Amino acid sequence: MKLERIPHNPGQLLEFYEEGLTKLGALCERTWHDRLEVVAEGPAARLWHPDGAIHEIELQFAPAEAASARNAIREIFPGCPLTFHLTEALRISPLPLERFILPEDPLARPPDATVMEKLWRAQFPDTHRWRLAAPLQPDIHFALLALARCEIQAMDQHWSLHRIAASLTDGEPDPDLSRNISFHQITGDLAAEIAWPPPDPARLRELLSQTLERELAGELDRIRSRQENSLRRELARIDDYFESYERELTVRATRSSSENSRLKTADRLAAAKAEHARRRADQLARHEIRVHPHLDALLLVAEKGWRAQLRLERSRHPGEVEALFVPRLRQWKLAGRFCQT
Amino acid sequence: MPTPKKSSKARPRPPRQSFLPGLVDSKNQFGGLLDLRVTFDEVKGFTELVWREQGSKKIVAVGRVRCTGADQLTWETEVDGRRESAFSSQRPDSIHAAFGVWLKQFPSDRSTFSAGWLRLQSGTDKLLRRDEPRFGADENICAWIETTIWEMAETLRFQFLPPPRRTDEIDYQPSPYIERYRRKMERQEQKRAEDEARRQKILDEIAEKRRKREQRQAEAQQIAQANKSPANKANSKLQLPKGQLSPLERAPLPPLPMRFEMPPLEFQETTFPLDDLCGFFLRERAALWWVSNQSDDLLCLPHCRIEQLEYQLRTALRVLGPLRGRALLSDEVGLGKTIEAGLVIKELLTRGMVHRFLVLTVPSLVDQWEEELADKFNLTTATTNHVGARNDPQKFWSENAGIVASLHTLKQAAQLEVARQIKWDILIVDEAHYLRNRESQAWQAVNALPRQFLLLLTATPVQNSIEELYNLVTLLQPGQLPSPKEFRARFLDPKRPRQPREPEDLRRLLGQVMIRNTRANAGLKLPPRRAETVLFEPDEAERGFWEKWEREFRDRLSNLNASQASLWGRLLLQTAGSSPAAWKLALEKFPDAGAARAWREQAPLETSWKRKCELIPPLTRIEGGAVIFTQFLETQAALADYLRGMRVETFVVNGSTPAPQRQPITEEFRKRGGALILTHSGTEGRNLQFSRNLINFDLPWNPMEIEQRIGRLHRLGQQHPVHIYNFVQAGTLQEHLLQILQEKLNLFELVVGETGLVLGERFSSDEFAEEVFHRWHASEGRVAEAMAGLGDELAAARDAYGEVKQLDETLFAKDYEAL
Repeated sequence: MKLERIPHNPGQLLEFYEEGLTKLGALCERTWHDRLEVVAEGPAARLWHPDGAIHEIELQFAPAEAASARNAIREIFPGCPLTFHLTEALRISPLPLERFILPEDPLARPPDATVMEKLWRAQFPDTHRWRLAAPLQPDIHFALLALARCEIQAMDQHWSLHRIAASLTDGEPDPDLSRNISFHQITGDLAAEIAWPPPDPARLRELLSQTLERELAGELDRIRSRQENSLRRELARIDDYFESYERELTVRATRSSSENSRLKTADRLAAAKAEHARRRADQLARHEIRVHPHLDALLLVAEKGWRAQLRLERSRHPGEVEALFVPRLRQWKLAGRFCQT
Repeated sequence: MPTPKKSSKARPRPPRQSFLPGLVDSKNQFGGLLDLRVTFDEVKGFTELVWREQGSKKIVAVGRVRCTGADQLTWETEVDGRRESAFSSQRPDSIHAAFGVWLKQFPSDRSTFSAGWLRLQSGTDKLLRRDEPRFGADENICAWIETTIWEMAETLRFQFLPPPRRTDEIDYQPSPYIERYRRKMERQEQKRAEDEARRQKILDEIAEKRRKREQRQAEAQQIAQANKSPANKANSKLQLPKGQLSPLERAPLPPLPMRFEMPPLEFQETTFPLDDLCGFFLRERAALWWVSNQSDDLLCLPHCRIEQLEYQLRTALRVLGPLRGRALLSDEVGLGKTIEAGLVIKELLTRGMVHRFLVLTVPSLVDQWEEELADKFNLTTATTNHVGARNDPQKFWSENAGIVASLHTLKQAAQLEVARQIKWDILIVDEAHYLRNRESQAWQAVNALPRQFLLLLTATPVQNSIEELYNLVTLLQPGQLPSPKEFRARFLDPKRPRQPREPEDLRRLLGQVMIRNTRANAGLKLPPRRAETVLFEPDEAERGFWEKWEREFRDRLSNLNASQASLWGRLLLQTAGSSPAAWKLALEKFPDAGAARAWREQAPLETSWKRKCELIPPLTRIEGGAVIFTQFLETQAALADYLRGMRVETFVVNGSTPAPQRQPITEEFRKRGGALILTHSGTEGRNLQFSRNLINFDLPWNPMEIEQRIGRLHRLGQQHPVHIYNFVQAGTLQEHLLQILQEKLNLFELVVGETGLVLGERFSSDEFAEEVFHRWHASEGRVAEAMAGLGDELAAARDAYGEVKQLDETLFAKDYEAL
């Protein structure tokens, strides 16, 4: 889920400063609707002094349209460096892999088999003769949620923030989780009984990479279209140039009856072709699109699910598969491979 | 066409002999001789020649000769609907040659030749045709036609001459002196042309040799390759028929490369699940504010007074973004590197990312930088031209947040010692090609300054060897290029130090630190400039006085010490070339009061002043009026009085004009036309591209100042060719100086900004004026010779700059643009 940029709003920014600086250990007090008095020491004071010595200042949150010259020491305005410093101070390094358990619906019972079958058929229409091989077993579904700032370098530089989530069971994106994480309340009931999966950085990286690529596909399409237009213009320019050059050489060759001259012209044509190809390749390289994701948070999310051993037919072949039903999503996640029996 | 004027210079009409050389005996594509009818159309102003097949009315070809310039004839032909044009000068031999081409192409029969005139009947609008009597067998028809065309051109060419010439010619009888002078100028022009032709020939020979050598090498390589591969051998004989292109050229658009660079995942594990998501959401909001705080635009733009050009804004954004505040800005001359650097400084200041900035430049540009930063970016700076910098370096360097300093000053040990103690948030080095040698004092000095952001500005980063580029990039981003030894081994060909060995790799590495905009990609094209020297002649009494005064003045200066002599010499010689009022005022404080009084009393200066001023009113009546530059307030006042007396709308701006009033005065001039008289301080920040006539009423001895004057009119937004009229008194030092500036330096043809690059280190500051004075002082009256030596130096500098410019254009063509 792409998080839309916040337009400059002094009130919202003041709240963020107050919360952020407090988190860093500073004392904050609103002295006016657009003023925040700060007494900082240690990590919070490092925003102003590298040594973290005690610092006292009254910050003023200016509206975006103010045309007067900015005072970067005490004024907070669009593009203000202190905002960058504060956001960077709040970032924890190295990134913690945090855990979070989604609360269980107190009324939730094992879902009805008919409903589960219908959901399965909707999800996997190429399978038939769906049957539970064994009663449903309660289990835990894990998903990875991440915050990623994405820098896309093309003709311009684009920055965007994305909250992405993917299931650790089948690796599929989990847009519901990324969208609704803020509505979930805390639960501590399951904490003791959860066997968290051992983190595998390589696998998590791949998972994030795939999910982000899907997330950015639309945006990249738009950028690619712009880049292609530019590349097309550049290539047309290069092609026109070499076309006329080649024509000129060819005409020159036809004028001469000397074999030597014709050979020379052919050599030049070959050199021009090589140069032409080089210029095209060069333009292509210059139009490359690069995506650099920067991760800001990693959250391993656990929630209750139902594990089932299913018997079914796929392409007229009977077999068994292990699957996990996630009530939040009302979806099945394949936990193993289909085994023919 | 008016009847050809029988001027005193007209060529006498030749006898009409019987001679048509090489015509009657030739066969041609039309199968024989043609009938020719020549009509001299006085109404439309051209000569028309119509060739028909013999004995029929069928037109084979039509030719027209038109006068299209002060010394240009256009020869147009139309055959079977196909039009062709050729040009010639208006000299008889050129006309003869051009006409000869036509006669060769369309051989004519003299027996059927006829000629006639088309003119208006006097007092009516009715056209009158008059046939020339038939030519006798002994008359030379070709010569007669050529002479008539020449006379027509002589009559019509005046419409292409600029007004001052006409005024000059009409108002004054040519004196013997002018005749002598004209002949002298012609000789000089001829000599210059010969020198230029010789030089060009040598250059062509060298280029030809080099081309042949390279071609031989390439051929040898290709033959070697062809011998290795039979397929290549077969291909080398392949010839594409016209219009057929290789499949590569029109290949479909290749898929765009895309890289997804996910960083390696490094994290620390946590033991317990979170109790709440407050911390997560706080970090999310922080990340969102981080992204939202990114500004895609420059925040400083509302506070800048600049024309917002796309390529300049992009350059600033790229420097601030991907290049992280360290860049080599190598735009072509005249594209505004100063503006781009100013934008970067202003943006960083606006965002509060810098507090102290230092601009280093050559001494001659210190004041200009100060003016540009103040005028366009509202940035107040202290400069090393102020007394404070010399008297108290400690205070100067530490107490000023913004400084414009000369590289020369910084190199001084006392100054450098203080400057290097300060941490500069952003350092700008203009004319950074002076840092090309890492052993140089300048490079060492700049390298010693602690800085966070660094911009190097130069249009010519490479002058002799690409190793210079290494030194510049190393200042910017140490480590961006490999070690010197590795760089030499990888990129430098010792035999061809100007050509990189692996251009692709070098281009890739440089692309990360360098931006170079070109006129082509910026879409900047200015109309041409035309410079005209307007000589005015003093009368005998004045000429006598000036000759005597120069002798006496030179003697008197010998009694003063060197600095006094230079000061007074330059002041009085320049005021003498400006106006009697300025000269007399300057004399009042001359140390030898007795001599000064005597000169003032003896001087009969009113004639030449009047003649000089009389040339101006016609120019002020042209659309857009005339912008007149002078160095002296007294001259400005006297000229303004004269013009007002002549009822010319006159506007005056100088250093004492309050800043808020300057723009309204300029605006009024733009609306009403007339004359706008400016002094140097009055020109600051004035954009006068709506006017197209510039008068240098006097000539500053600093070419950069002349260039700045031109730059006020010849800038972005100018729609018309700019005419520059340089007023100088014949036979004076100013005339010789103007001559070398025009002919040797090509001052009036250089792009604005190039003069400093041509003058380079040799005349870096006030030194050009100093040099002029010393040469005049030592010349013992032989001023022309003294100036010729200086001219040779300028010509050599110009040529050297031309080579460097060519090299940089080749090396960096279209690969580092911001757009």
